[in-house]
Amino acid sequence: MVTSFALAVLLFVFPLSDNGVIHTTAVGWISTGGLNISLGLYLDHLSGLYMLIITGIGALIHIYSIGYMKHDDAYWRYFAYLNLFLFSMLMLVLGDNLVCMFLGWEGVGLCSYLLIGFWYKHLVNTNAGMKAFLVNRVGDFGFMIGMFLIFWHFGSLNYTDLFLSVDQATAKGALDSSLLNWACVCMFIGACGKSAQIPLYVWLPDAMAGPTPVSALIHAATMVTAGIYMLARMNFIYVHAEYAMTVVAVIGASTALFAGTIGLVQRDVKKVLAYSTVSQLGFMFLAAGLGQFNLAVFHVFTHAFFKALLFLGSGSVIHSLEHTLGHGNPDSQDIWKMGGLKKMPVTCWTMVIGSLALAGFPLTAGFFSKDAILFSAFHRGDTLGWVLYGMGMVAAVCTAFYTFRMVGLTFFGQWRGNEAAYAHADEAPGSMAVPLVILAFFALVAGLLWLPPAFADLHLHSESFKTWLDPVWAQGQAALAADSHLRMPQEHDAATIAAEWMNIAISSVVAIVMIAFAFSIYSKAGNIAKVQKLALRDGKPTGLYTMVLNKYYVDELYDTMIVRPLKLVSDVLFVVVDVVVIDLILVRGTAEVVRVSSDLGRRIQTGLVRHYLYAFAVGAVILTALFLMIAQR
Amino acid sequence: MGLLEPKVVLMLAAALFSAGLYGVLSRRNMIMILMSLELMLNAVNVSLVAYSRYWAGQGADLLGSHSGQFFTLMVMAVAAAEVGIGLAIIVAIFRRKHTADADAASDLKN
Repeated sequence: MVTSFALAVLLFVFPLSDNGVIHTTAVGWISTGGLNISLGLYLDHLSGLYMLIITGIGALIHIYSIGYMKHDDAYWRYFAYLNLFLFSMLMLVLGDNLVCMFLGWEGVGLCSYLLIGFWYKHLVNTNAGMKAFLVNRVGDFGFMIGMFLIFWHFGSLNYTDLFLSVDQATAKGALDSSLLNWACVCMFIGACGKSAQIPLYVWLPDAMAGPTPVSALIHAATMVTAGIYMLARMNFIYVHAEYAMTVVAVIGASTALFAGTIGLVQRDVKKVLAYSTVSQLGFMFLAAGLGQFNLAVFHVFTHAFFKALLFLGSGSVIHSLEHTLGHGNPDSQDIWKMGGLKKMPVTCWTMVIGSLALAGFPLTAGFFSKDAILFSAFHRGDTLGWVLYGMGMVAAVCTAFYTFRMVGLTFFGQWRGNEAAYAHADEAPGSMAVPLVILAFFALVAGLLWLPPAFADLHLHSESFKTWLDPVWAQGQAALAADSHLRMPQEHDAATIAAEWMNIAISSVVAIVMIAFAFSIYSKAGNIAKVQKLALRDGKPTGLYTMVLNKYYVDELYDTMIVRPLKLVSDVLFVVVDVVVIDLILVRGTAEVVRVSSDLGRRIQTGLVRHYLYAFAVGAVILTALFLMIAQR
Repeated sequence: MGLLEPKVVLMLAAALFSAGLYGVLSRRNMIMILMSLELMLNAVNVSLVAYSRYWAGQGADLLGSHSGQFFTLMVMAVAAAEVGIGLAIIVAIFRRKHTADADAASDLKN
């Protein structure tokens, strides 16, 4: 993995710096009628960046896993799945057509199923794996429909062909915008499944059943960012589908808000992080839906660092507690039963850095990317923009709060769990600590690759990230009208800069206040008790708190509305079709007919050679007679 | 020609064939069945020779008009092989069942 990262860096640095695109076709795959699909690789600035994220974070997670999975019986199986996962993800981003992307897309789905259900001896884990797989399948269905629609309209699925056909169709004014909208919405459903957006986000929190480094991999470098990649890759089509873009933005903002509020009350450290991922993915889709694809990818980039860091850090906590509590003990993940874990200094302080970045503390990586996304919603200027901005801002408030609730409960204050576990909670071994430190460094500085234009006032210019990705959007942007909402800003006038400063100030203040607020509550035992008194009545959760605690009953809703009716129908089908029609009539029936007829046929087999000879002679006579009769005619 | 007219010879062949068939169907001893079978084969041989001669008389040139006689030689060779195998089978059955009765070899019944 480290080697592949080095290769990716080489590829990134050398040929890409010139013009941008390497396109090789390895071998033809499907060729029928007008459909020509080849297994080809397409490396440009976007897939190059993704490749760096995947291999870089992937390499760190591999190193970390050496320590984390050391005592696991299925050490080999784990690494086999992990590498298959990364292969699929690379296939997804490097494929030169939508079918190749789909191949990787499905591969990632399969590997997530394998890895989430990795500890398959517990039913909960396998169920979580199954849930992830099935929910993803729902999304994949949408992706396929979208793919078919695009093929129907443009007659090809290769990116290079699509670039051309979209250009030609735009020039002739022959774009069927309603069809494009549908295609884009369908593909977005696929992205919803893979990137855990409303309504298909339910699998991601359950995906915490897998080993923690896997969660880090799924949440940071691979899988969930696939949806963003797909949108960014197809940006030249999406810019022509304005309604679809609105859908994307609204779903993104709602998911950010929705998941953010659920994150406020989770007890399981990994669940908190899972909902924060869902929420951050919502931000990315919000950016994409606003047409700011480079911001979406920028957030993917910064998020990859701090989310991988947070997961690996929580893994380090879980790992050290599991020594005493035993493997798979839920107490090792329950933040209410932690506290004072700053005795693990590396884990603690890297986690704090990651949390600062996630919460959007000024000048960390998450601050720059999230702030820019919020500002682009604000800058849109119409009602929708305001609503989206509001939702995003509330989501950001939630993010800052729950992140530091988690940090306060886990690392500060008093230990509230098993004493022996606390005594034996030691710092992670080197193979786990080093990736944490590396990731923490990037979580701090990754945002500096693209400073907001407002910083130019301070003579701070840094737009290398934006310049790097600009060629990817060039075509889509060129096709847009000058006043389109979906246009990425190129120049900033004084008013915009002022607004941007204001936005930066608001989000900084909000982030700092919420961080301080959450931290002051949850790092002191007395304050925790006060908060609990507010939320609980007679030791039981009340009102709104219950609703949020139960994740708005979405799982229950899906259970009643989709799973149970489906089960009922399946049960009926099972009894009628499977048991009666297939088993009884077709299978047993066929056997019975054969048995009865052979019972009859058996009787003519007397075993006496004479009888066979009679039959033979009579048959010969009859045949001769027939032959003669025919010859006579 | 008189006595060796094809019609006469063919009637002889038919008589031989019928006698053989009767033997095959009515006998129980496998040796007898085998002998009757030989009779049937030879009836066919006779008819082949008769036809061969008939067609030669007609001036037809079917493989030099002696093909029937070649076939007869071939049938004889095959019959010899068949008798060899048949006798071997009979010996094998006799060793197992201590009889040469064809009805005793009814292991395939039902």
